[in-house]
Amino acid sequence: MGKIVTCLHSQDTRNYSRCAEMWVLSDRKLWLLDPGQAAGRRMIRTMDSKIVVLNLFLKELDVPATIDTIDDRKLVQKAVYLGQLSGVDLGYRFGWYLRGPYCPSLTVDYYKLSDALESEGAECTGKELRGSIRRDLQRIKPILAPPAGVPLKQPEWLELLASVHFLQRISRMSLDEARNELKVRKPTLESWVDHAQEQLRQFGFLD
Amino acid sequence: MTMRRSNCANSVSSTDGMRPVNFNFKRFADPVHQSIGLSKLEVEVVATKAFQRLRGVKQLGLAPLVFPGADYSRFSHSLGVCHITGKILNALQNNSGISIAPKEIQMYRLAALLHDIGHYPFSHTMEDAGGQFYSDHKLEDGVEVGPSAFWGHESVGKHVVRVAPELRDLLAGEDYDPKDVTDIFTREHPPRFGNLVSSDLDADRIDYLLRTAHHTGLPYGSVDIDYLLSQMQVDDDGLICLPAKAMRAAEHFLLCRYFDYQQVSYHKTVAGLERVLVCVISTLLRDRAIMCSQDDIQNMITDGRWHTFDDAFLVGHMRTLAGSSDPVVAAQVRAILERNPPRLVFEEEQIVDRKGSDALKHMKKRVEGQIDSWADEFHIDRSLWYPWERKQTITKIGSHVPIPDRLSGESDGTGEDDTDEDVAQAIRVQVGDGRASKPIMKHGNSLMNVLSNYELVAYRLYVLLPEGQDGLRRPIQDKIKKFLA
Repeated sequence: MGKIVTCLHSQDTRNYSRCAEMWVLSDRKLWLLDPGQAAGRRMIRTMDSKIVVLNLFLKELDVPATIDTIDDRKLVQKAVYLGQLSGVDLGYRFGWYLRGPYCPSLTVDYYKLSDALESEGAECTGKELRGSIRRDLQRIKPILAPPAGVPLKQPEWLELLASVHFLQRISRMSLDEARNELKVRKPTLESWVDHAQEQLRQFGFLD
Repeated sequence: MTMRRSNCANSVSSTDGMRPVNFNFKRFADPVHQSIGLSKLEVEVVATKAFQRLRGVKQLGLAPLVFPGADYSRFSHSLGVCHITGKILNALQNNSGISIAPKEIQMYRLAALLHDIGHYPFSHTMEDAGGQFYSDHKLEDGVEVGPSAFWGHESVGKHVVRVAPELRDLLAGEDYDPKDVTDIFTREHPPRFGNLVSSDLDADRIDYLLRTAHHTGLPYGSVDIDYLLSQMQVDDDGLICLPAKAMRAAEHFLLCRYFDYQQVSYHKTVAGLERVLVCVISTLLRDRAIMCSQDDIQNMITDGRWHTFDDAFLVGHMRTLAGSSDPVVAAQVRAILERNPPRLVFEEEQIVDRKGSDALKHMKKRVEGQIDSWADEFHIDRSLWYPWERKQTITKIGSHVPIPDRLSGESDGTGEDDTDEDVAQAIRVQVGDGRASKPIMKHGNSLMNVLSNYELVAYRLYVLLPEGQDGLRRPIQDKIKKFLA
């Protein structure tokens, strides 16, 4: 049921075969067109494509986009860090902050996402990540759950995983150096470093 | 040669790091700091093609179209940030009795000098457009641009310093590991001074405020920076802080920065033009006139095309678009090249509690739901209507944010030993005997204790009016006013 939608941003024509609703990229935003009134150029909802992708990325990993609490925000930060290790690069780059890898531009984007979801109620209906991307994310999704015997909440577990990976891969520390760093900065997590190391190895994120 | 790393980022061994460095090897005249001294290595860095390129990247994007003198570049700003970083490090040694090896000082100064080396033409505007464009390909039915993502300017800068032989070999030849230098501005290694590089009062923000004030002619640079810099010290946790007596000067700085943003970056004409510029850059990306995926940028850096990838390069491409048969594209390009800004037809601003507010959301929804019909009614293509939205706070965090005991200098009473990372960016002021410090907004006698809990939310609607139809502005404004009433 291929439909051709002439984008409001002239020159841009897309073929949409999968969606009952039609989306076009225009003026940096995805515009959802009412199929019955596409010709009349009626726009219903808008969301930046970068934010749409972030939303779908989190959904694929079963990570809520809510950011009400510090744990919520930590979960999103670390899930995106780990999700990108699958090879799905959203372009977020992380530095070392108080709670390990952290990306200020991701913070900006998840606040935008929260605002968009709240004010527009948009759920990206009709939009999907590419199949290859979904498969990559599904492959690494199990690492996001704390393994049996590790009594950490999910945000803490992800903080640990991301920190252990970052210190070795990005900061070029040895495992012992990373462990010492965590002992000073995150004493409550240090006991579970070996579990994190093992999981990261199993998923091929560390040698 | 790769330096041996220790537990502290960019630390140097006591033997090879103590050789004195002459930071006044050459002096540069500067309108803001009068005179900036650089070391021999810094002078050599400045002479590289990658650094000279920064002369062609304006710090303030399209602001010179409103403030004629505000056309300074990231070149002079980078020299200024290097200069201020040196002053901060000197103050830390003088006031706190700590020792920072000359080589470590050199490393921090190099990082400061190079922190903007990866900025795209038109800086954040292009970064915004590129980020959007290269996200789209991840969606089914999105534009196919390959698997590559888009780099932010710090990642580009990292690549320029570490991979391109020009800077990499220069630094390595003087026994500085390029990764150690970039680790400072990318924070890829736990830093020795956690809040030196990125805070509400860092060298980047200080030079930006002073230089922008100087070049725009606005009064927001009248801050007692010399006093603030001379007072910086390190607390027992290794965090940079100010004594209590410097708190007023710090608050004055924060207020000036707030007003500077209001008057320059968020100026109605500047913001409107930059909104249009994002569309123009998106068109250039979509047409493949410019290509900026990670792979493209890596290739540009490797083969040297990066050195000419500046504002003028982009303007050249815009000129070729000016004659586009697409009237929307042609109008957008003319808006930039001929300074024909979109007109502000609606604006609403409110100061609200930053903890969360629905302010403007309802109104925004109503306005955006009507744009299509207004576009039809006034016969102006929908793509020429530009909603614009910003939030602005005076400080990164509010005083209500719980701070862990080890960072607050006192218990918060919340029992919650957790916080946002943004707390690391707060200006810190000493408490008690001066061995500990806490964020400025946590001091009950600070203005920021109150103001940091609020934010300005602003929503605007711009329209790029067809040539010769400036008279439509008033009817459109009236229409919107009537609709919202």
